[in-house]
Amino acid sequence: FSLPGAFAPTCSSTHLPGYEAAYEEMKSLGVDEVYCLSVNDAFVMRQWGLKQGLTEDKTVGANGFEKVKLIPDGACQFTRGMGMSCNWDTERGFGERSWRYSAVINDMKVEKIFIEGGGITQNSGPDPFEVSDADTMLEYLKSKDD
Amino acid sequence: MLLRRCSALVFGFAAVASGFSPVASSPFGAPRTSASKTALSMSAEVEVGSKLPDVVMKEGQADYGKPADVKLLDLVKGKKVAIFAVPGAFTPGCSKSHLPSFITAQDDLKSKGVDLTVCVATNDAYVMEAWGRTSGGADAGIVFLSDADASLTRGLGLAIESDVMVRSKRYSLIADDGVVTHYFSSAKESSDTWAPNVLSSL
Repeated sequence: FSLPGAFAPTCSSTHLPGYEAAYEEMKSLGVDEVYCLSVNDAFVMRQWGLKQGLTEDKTVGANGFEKVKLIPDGACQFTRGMGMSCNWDTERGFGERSWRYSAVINDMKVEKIFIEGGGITQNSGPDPFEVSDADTMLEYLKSKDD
Repeated sequence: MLLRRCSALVFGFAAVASGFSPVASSPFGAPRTSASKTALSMSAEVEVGSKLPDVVMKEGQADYGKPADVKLLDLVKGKKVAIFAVPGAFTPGCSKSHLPSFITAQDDLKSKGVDLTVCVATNDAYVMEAWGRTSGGADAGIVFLSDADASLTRGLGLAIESDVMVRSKRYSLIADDGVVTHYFSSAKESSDTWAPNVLSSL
């Protein structure tokens, strides 16, 4: 799942914590890994994970944290490639960022994607958070599990 | 030291410039050409005697409150202030050396008449607030301002342009009622911008 900013309100209070709490359940439903992306640099991203109370995994080759793995898309390459790049200049003082969405990727293909608001709004006033949350994702995973 | 770190931060530029054509979603259109980059960073580098640019910055609030606008010239009006900028909140040099040096130096700065210390970076206001709060800087009385639109940084001629995120060069300065009286560049040594060097010239 991808979000506009590390340390930002909804991202910190609800989006990431929801997935962190649902991590084990998602894995039991066949998900191999859960990644959280944001257009931030690696230093900010790691500190955010630590401040959010994620448990660090310092094993060499591990992705930094035990459950949800944080991926800093600092140069925005993945986000642009997904067509999810947007800006929030005047509304939040954000530059180029990721629009909020979640997706299930199966063998490198997008199996399912939940895009907030159905699509990107540039410099959006509202910061919608309705479909990319962990509960919606769990419902989807369970429906596929049958 | 500074250049190496910056090249790591802008590593994505060359790859993206090869033309990702990111659908209609990129607000920037084509990646910035070198001509437009030059135009944007045209402000000459700040020097003693320069007036601080008249810009509005953002200050993050506790508990995810909406960041507040801060008009820089109002903040520094009638005061002697220290302003120091870092390329990135939470990055090693900034967090281990530059900021701590100013935390330690607060009493000494005040005894030299520096009423206020401001820390600037082009990170967003949420990141700056978190860094200030978790680093001890805010408790020490340092004001953390976000220059996310780089208006201050470019106005001082100290921007590191990049396709993804403009960063500030590392610097420190003293301004008296909005006019720069001392300027410390990191061009030779990062440590020239740390508090001890600033104090020794006051």
